[in-house]
Amino acid sequence: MSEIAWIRSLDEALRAAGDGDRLVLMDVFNPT
Amino acid sequence: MTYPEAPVREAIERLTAPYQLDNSVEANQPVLDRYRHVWTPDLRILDVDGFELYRWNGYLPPAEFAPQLIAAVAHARLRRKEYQKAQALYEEVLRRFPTALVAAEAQYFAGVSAYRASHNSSDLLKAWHELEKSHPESEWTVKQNF
Repeated sequence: MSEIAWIRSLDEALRAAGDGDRLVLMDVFNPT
Repeated sequence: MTYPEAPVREAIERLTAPYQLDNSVEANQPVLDRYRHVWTPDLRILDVDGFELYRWNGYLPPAEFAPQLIAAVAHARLRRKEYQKAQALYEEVLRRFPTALVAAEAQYFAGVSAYRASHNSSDLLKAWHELEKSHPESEWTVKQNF
């Protein structure tokens, strides 16, 4: 099963959203 | 685990550019401060200029996460005045996930987006009448009273 290709930079995510008529999903997590 | 589930992954990839950050990493602090981050899970829908259009906190299992995400993007489209896109997403929630926690909210705003698109009050009242029937105990049924 493939995994979601999470973007790790906000600027890059905003650019990707703008290029693809999408919006950014921002997910803040804590690893513990 | 929520994200590996197919309906969740499909909705994320179809509707969003997915951006994830760890709140324990010092380098992420400027973004966390910008968005006044408090608690995880912390999920936001951002416009292409970074403006926050919708947010929620807390874990959701896959059967609730997928409809919540679709409704969240619908809210974001509604705030962008993309009424038909919003309505289609609310209707997707209602069609695919009629028993989801977010279904009543989706029914409420399906009416709002239909009315905003058509300026026909019967579109609003039809959706809200359906809300009364399908979710009589919901807070959204209370909120539709005026």
